[in-house]
Amino acid sequence: MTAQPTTEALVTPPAPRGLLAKIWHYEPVKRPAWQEKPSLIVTISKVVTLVVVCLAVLFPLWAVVLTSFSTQSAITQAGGLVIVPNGLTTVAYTQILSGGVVTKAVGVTVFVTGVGTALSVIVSVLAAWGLSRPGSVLHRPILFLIIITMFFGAGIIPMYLLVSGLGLINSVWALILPTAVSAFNILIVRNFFQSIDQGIIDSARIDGAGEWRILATIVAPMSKPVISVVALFYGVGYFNAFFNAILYINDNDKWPLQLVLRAYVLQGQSFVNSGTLDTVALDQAQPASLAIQMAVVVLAVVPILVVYPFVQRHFKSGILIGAVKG
Amino acid sequence: MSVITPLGPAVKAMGEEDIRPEQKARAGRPRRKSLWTRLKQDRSLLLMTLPVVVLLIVFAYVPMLGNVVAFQEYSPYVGIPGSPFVGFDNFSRLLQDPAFWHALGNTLTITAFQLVFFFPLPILLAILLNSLMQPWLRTLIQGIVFLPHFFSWVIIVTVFQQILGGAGLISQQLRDIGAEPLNIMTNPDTFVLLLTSQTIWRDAGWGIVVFLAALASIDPSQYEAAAVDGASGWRRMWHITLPALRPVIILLLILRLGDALSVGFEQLILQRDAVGAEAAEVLDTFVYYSGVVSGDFSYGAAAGLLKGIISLILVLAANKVAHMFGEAGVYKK
Amino acid sequence: MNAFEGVSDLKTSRRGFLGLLGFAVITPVLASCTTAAGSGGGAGGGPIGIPKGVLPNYVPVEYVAPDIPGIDGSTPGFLEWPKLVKSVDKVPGVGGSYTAMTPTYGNVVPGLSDSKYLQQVNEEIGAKFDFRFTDNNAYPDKLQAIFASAKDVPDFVTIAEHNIPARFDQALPGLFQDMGEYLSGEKVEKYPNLANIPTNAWKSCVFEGKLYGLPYPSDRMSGSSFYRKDLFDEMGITELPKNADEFFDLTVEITDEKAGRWAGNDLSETAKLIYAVPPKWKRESGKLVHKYESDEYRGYLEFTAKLFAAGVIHPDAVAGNSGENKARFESGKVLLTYDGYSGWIGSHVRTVPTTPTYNQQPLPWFVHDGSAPRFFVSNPAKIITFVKKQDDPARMDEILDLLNYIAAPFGTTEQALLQNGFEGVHWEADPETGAPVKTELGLKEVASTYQWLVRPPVTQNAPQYPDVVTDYCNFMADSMQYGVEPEFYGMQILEPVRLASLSQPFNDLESDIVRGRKSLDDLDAAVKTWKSSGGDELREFYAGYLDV
Repeated sequence: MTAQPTTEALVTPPAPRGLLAKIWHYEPVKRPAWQEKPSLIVTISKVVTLVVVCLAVLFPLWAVVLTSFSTQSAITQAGGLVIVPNGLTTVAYTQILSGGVVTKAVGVTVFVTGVGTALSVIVSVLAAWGLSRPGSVLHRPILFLIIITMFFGAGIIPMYLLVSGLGLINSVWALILPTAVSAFNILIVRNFFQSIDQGIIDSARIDGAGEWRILATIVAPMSKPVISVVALFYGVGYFNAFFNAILYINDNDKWPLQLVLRAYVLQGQSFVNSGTLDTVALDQAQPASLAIQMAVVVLAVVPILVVYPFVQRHFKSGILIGAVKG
Repeated sequence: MSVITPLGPAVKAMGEEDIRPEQKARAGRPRRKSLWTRLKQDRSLLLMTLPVVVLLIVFAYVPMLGNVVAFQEYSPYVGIPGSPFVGFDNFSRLLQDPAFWHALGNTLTITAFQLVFFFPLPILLAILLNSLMQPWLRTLIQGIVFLPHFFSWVIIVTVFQQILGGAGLISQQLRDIGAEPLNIMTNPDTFVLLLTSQTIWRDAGWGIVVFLAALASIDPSQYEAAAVDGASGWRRMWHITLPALRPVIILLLILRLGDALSVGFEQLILQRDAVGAEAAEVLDTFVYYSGVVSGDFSYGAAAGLLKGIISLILVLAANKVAHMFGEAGVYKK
Repeated sequence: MNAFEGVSDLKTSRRGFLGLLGFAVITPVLASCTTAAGSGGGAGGGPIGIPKGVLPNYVPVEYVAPDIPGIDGSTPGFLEWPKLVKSVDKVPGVGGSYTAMTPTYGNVVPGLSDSKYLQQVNEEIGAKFDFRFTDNNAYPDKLQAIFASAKDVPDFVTIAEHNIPARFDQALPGLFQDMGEYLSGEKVEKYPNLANIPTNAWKSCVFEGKLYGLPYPSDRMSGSSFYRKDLFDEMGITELPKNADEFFDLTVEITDEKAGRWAGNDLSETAKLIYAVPPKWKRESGKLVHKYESDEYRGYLEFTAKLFAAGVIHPDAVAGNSGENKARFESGKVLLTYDGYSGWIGSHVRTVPTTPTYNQQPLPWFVHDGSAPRFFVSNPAKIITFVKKQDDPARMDEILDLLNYIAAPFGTTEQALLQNGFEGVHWEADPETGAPVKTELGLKEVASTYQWLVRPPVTQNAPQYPDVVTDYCNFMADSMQYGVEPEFYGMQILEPVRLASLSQPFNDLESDIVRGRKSLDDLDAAVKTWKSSGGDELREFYAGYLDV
């Protein structure tokens, strides 16, 4: 098998040595020889689109981050979100982060997300490969078993009784196992697996390789993008989930991060307007300042920013593998 | 020479029959294998699906049996055995409720609107992003646009209010220059637009991810070969990029249809007062307010079942249509 | 939603929410008197009121005399930190372990393993309490789930009046202890602090004729319209409105959009007070008339619609954002708001550090036509804690002793301990007033915990802010003359399940009418529908309770 050079290799000039030299000799990335120079219109529209998109996203983000670092008087003066810095402080963060509740919650979330994602990805990839051959035995029944779960769910009470019956109440595993399998994600991986050129697989099979070997040595390495995507989906699902924790966790030192943050954001006010005035909440609620609410948002996003670069590298375009001679 | 081809055509090319090399070799004696033999032959594959099957049976199907309460008048204190059976009463009550149909109508309107205005965006954005030359720029923009997905709806609605609301940034500026302040957040007639723009803001960047993965599997030498053959940029997109994305797009489209009856919950509850129940009532909120308030579990379960059945039918139909166009769809016939 | 979310997210968030919600519950909205759905009055058929002898005797005991005594049920106030009195001689607990489910309101309280406060108080009272804190917004869902699984129900479950789940009368006998066996009549006198709780509060604990649960007594007046006196003074407004028209003119006067100042948050509750809308029922010539059918209700809706149309309501409030109500009021973006009465002190404490001139005052009572003011007093106990049936009767003795300790009123060492924690660890004495000033640890760890289980009669105390307490107590004492007890005051009446969702359309309707999306004609139509689809039946049902 010959490895084809990646697009990177085609376009990146050799790295100059030394930082100064790097700056002096900086050249923009070269276009590959076969690609024509883009027309002005196309370039302009691309630029405009991208700028608009980035602004639409960045502007609110900027306001959120700035507000989280603003003093109360700056917020009052601005009448809400702060867009021009007017007095900065880290008080919101120290308030949330002190007390160890948040740090404990981070620990819980890291465990649940890490273990859960690993577990989910493994079982999903296995199942996807196991279902990648339409003629295999029990293929249809198992596929339907999985698909049906996308449409029909179970109520809170049966779920609770099940989790309780399994002795998982108050265990972090109650935050992992019930949602470990996503039919949607399995279908995505399966879709990708089925589009892999059969030739390679068949020749491997003829050579006597078992399904496990094929999966591990051929298919999985070539499916890094889709596996990363699915790992991302699962990871974010675990990270964002809070409802299971509400139901199954009794000790608040086992609360995941999202639950803690949600408490701050909702401030004790009843968020579903069921028509009654919750006068108890009026008496008890300690509305967090806008700074705290925004700090909560930032805190929830920071872990994502940390993990993102590691996942992103699998989305680069480039060739993945090689060829089969023949 | 064969390389990894983009998704789709390769599958069709190999055909949809389950002819395996060993069988082909023995061609001339195609015999229906016994179940036992097939089990032995495919045991690895079966074993691979085992964890998922077990997890689903335990955590999805066992509690799903609880949906039997849709046919009862259920009280949790008396339990399923003790609650009386009422047959299809709950369902007929549901179908005769004009509020149900109104909610269904709203739901379908929102779904259709989002299908047209939201669904294509991540695809376009992914292609655009993929065409950027500088990898650092690509990474940066990708990172930026997918952040909003992690904001909870409570925050998103707050932020939208802070910027677009009647007392928000833009309105204040408008007042300063003597113009009328904005009314978007409380206008029931444009609510679908507002909903969709919120969804776009939150999820357009997030949705790119799947398509980028698909685009990542395209062999760049194909582009080179096509260019050498004289294909222009647009033709290369049409003949290489888009076909690469087609199977994923179809899959997601079908799955989206299966999800057509779910258009949000928290996002709608938060804005219910702002625009009124008539504009903000969708199936999920309808069930919540009418079934949940009275603790009518049976009603809620019936609605859930009905929703599931309709969604299932939609997916099966869409899959059939996909087959008619020669696509693999969610599963093959 | 879009298909791009991994379904594991779906399962717990959206679809999950729906599918799960197939069984979810809750919230009967009830206004003040009665609670949610039940399976109809009484197991035997007829409505059961409050049988003779069920209620515990009321034996008030005063450990420390309040500076501002309560009058006709108003809340007494303390302006200084009193000299504490010990009310309970022996350590109440004998080593038992108890779990309790209690609410939190936006704060995250450290649990037993992390909290010195909880650990040390447990030691002090001789029992191990493990609290399962649950955020208020998650409360109804969690309640429903655990009620279905008896072994997961903790020893104490605190439920706010509007969270009482459907069919509760079916849950009660199986799950919870009938406290009447231990506390009815003179039995309560064994526990002086429990006997100190007013009879009205106990009334709210009677379900289907039996005494279940322990009360959390509330102020007789639950909420009020407040205005920013400091800002009014600044603006030179000295006359306060005495009827609806004057109120309307005031709101128009103080609204200045360009300056970012509006008259009020959602003034619906204020308007309800102005029109004296009954919480649920009123009696007119002997017959029950429901709130929805009343003229007061119609009037309030019309008036509020006028307010909204005049643009005096803050746009975010128009957009239903009520979570920011307090923030808007405290920062001066709105000048009028409706708030819980006890929230007054909270707002003051929160805002004075950055706005020293902050001065919030309740709006003096008036009704729409300027006639004699009146308002409806609130439920005597808005929160009730239920005790799970214990297998071992000896535990009940310990439980009662513990509850007696916890119910010690203000002015006792026990109450001071529970409210503030331990000296030197959680608080330091203020050199001037002697009152406890919480340390950082105290602010983090000490929150409403044990006090959810049972609470002594309400008193107000905030020695750092004697002015506020004075205003608070005096205003309330003054208001009592206008207070009116609504029909079925304090009674827990569980409505039949099939009639429980009658009020739901009105919640949306109110929101629509005040914002001009619907008209009063729609109200008339809705009332007609209400009557025919169960309203009249509901009337019959309640009429049965008039005589018990």
